[in-house]
Amino acid sequence: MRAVFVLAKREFCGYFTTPAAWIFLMIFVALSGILTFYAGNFFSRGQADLQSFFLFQPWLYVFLISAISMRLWAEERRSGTIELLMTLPMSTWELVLGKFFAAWAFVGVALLLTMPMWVTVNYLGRPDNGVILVSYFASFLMAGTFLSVGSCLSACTKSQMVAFVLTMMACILLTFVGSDALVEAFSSVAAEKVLKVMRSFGFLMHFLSLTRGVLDLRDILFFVSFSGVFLFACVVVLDHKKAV
Amino acid sequence: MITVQNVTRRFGRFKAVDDLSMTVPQGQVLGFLGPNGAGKTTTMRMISGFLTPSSGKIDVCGFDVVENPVQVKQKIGYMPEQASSYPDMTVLSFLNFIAEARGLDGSAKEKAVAKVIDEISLSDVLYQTIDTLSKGYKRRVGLAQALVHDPAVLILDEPTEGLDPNQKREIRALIRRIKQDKAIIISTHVLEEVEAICTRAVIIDKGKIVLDGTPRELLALSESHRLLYFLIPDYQREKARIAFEQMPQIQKIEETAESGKVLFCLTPAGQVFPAADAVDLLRRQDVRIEDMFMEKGRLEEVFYAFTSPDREPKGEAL
Repeated sequence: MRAVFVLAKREFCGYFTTPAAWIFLMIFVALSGILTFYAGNFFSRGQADLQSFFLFQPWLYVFLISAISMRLWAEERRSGTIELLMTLPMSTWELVLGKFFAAWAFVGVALLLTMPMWVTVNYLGRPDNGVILVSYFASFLMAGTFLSVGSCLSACTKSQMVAFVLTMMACILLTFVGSDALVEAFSSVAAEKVLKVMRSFGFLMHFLSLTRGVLDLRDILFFVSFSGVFLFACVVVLDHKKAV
Repeated sequence: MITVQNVTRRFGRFKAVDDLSMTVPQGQVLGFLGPNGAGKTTTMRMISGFLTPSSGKIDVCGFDVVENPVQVKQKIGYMPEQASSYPDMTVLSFLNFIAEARGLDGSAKEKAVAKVIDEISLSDVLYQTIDTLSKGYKRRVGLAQALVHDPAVLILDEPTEGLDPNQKREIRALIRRIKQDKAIIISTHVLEEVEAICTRAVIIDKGKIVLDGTPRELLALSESHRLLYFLIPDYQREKARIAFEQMPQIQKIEETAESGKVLFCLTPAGQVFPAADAVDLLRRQDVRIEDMFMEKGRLEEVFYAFTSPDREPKGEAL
């Protein structure tokens, strides 16, 4: 675990040595604001909550998480530093977790920077801060799951671009698969069982159920186990495809 | 300390390393030679645990590379051929990271990093990011990260490539200084380096060992090994030639004129040592010897003889 921490520390600090990270943070905060106030009708809803903020987060993540995760492994492969990394006395698990936690913490920073939103809503009215806290937690959890998918796909390729596009497609699919529109579209061709599976795999449903302020263990377990599976896949990919 | 046993590595249908075996004990500096694509880097990557062998066994300090990769990696300092550092880190933060990743902490870490900075003279560039460094400095940072935890086994893939002669000299001096309690493998294309620092040289070609011996043994295989040269004033040319022709130990005499002097190149017949006799003979004839030297052999010739594509098939020479 010490190795995980050492690597995560380097990776996390590494984000802030490049301008890309600062730009990312700016875009994340700006887009969150724009989506909340314009697309989410924050003011005209007349409700003192952050529903309109959290509603658009999955869509923001689809693009922005892919942008973070694309370089996790693809960049190491392209520059050849993967050789250095993989000859350090760390297991592949520790490497994968170290990088994953650093990226996750970085997303955490981005989320923290949206605090003014919370301040605003508290200034304007009396929101249920418990719900907001749980929603932040849900958002962070979902970001981690997207990151684990991105981490695995980034390990498959040398090209950051390929990793970005693949991750984006995967994230869109995972978000969408449980949505009412898609399930309905399939309802005529697929069996009821398939539809049920589709619904249960959609990120959106699990996320929205958490943002209602209900800390349902099933939703949390869903995200955690989903991340676990993809991080495991990432380890397998790296062990099998070290060079090239 | 390093035992490689019948190791083969395939990439698809291509065999990069083919049933290779060797042992490197403590205190040995093994020069790993071979043309590009011979399998040097693949072998070194397998020992350092980056690649797994397709078959065979590698053992480092008693640990199996496949079964105990973390323990093995802890014992090894490895300097990859390229990209041995993170370009956007400063030298100091990079070395600190490597030291921490190698399990050093607190004052032990500080000591180790300070020691390696001193040894490799990096103190001038500590706060520069690595991508702003010259090629020579980058290689040195790569070497520093391999040395920071004072490993028992050192694997260096072309450590002096891109360095100027002074820097090469420093690195060689460093390797000589630290070699006593380590097993070191160095791959290189600089053959003079093998003579300068290695206690053993292995030439591989197409994934197989074609030659294995001390640098001196390898030199003895060179065609020019034992060639004897005499520099004689021009007016004594005839006298000298006649003297040499009298010697049965000499097979062949060649002459090259050099401003007022002649350089005789004598090829001895077989494993004889005609130098002393030749000197005696010339003395008796009152021939003045301006200079005299013996060719110890050239690794380049041996390298070419054993690895060039159109070489005649030779058996294991040693």
